[in-house]
Amino acid sequence: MKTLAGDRQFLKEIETHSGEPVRRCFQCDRCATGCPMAPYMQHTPNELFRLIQLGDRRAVLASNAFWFCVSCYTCSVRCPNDIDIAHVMDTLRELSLREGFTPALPQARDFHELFLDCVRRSGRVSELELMARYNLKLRKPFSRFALGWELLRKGRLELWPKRTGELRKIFKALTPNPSPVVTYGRGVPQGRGEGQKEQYKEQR
Amino acid sequence: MMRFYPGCTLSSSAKPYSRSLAWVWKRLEIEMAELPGWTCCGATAAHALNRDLAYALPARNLAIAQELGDDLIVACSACYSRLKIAQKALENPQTRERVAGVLGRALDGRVQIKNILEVLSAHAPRIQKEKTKALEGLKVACYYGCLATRIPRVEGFDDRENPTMMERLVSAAGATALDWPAKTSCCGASFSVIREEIALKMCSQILEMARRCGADVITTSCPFCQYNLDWAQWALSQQDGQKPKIPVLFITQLVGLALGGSEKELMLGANLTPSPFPKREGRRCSPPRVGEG
Ligand code: SF4
Ligand code: SF4
Repeated sequence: MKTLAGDRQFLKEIETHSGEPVRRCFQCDRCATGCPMAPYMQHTPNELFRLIQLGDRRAVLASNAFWFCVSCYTCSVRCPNDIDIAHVMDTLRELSLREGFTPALPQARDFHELFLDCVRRSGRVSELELMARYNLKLRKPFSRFALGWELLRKGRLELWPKRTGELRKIFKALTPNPSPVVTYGRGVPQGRGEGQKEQYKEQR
Repeated sequence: MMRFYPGCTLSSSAKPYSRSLAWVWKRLEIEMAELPGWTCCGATAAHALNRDLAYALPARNLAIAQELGDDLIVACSACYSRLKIAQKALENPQTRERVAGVLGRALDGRVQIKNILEVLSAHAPRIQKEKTKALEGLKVACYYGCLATRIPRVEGFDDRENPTMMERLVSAAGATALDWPAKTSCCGASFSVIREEIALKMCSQILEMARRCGADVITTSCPFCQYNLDWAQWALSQQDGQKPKIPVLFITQLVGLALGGSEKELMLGANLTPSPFPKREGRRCSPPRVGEG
């Protein structure tokens, strides 16, 4: 059934993927009131949910809301309709990436991808390695040098962490590519969205 | 036996946490061994990008604990939250089957996951009995952050929005726990890396609230909260030359001090904010004067 802005399929899709009853949201605004990141969001959680109910796929998946969400779970534990809002935010982020929307905070995506790649390769995360790779990705190899030095001096950076390749298997089974990280390119990698779109279709 | 799941930060940026924790365990004669072969829980990165990984990565550690038949003790709030959320999700038979298939391990969901605050609280009477007078008169703001208590649909160890377990510990340790409103506010988490100015603003608000409530120190059980509040004061001091004002201690550092631990044993010098405590053991501490001028 067509609704005002789009189609109902979208609401169903979000509900199925997240397992959360987004249709129950009755705009009490409690989620937005307690959200520390609401000032940075184009749509507060309740606004986003209204758009999902209306089926406005584009507006929802192009929003910056789920990129600014810090997963503090304030909204989730307060929602009177027991919707795990933070989890829906995760779902939307995944979907938005798969459908090739440009992330509103590319550095957040990069940071998470690099983090997961460290986990995949080493089993545990070395903060030193993660920060070095993140700096390289941003092409600012010396940013936070003073902070890094301070932490190192105080014994708060581990130089040679224990490594294990144990998790490669799990990553191989659960990620479409062997590594979630794309090649180091300038800016947003081109063509990435298209490839992902196809993969997502195949999965479905 | 209790198995300790340290998580990635505890050997790196939260090194003072693991040091002081090991010291307190030893002092209280709590038997605890590291979970053998533990791996990363996936933290925010996994659930932000890939839900399957967000369940499978914690589940692997749960499976190890289950095979050993042990309880899991978790110090890091983020690890604790991820392990609890994964365990809850694995109650769904389809999810469990899928994850168990990928891991090649059975999962029965019976592992008890305990937060470090629960373990420490169980020893509060002993802490009270054996404390020195080191912390007398110290006003402490207990900071829980988001992830220790706010776990959807999971019964936590304390109230979600107004937890009090750390306050009771602080009182047992002989210090004064403050009543203050920012104890479960968000410190900005990974935004201290990806958008510094936003995290700085969030931390500043928390620090300002602590200052107004008259806190001499802040204590927390979360490695990220400690790092962010510590870092924010350091960063502000780089910007405007002001000295960091409120020391941010791990709860085990505070309890350790009450039990007679030295600055070195508890790695107090590794905090970015200066320690308010004397270098020599056994001397009474003089809390710094905060909020003057
Ligand atoms: S708290 Fe729940 S019901 Fe209220 S507006 Fe937010 S999502 Fe809707
Ligand atoms: S979990 Fe995200 S949306 Fe919910 S209150 Fe926190 S930042 Fe806002």
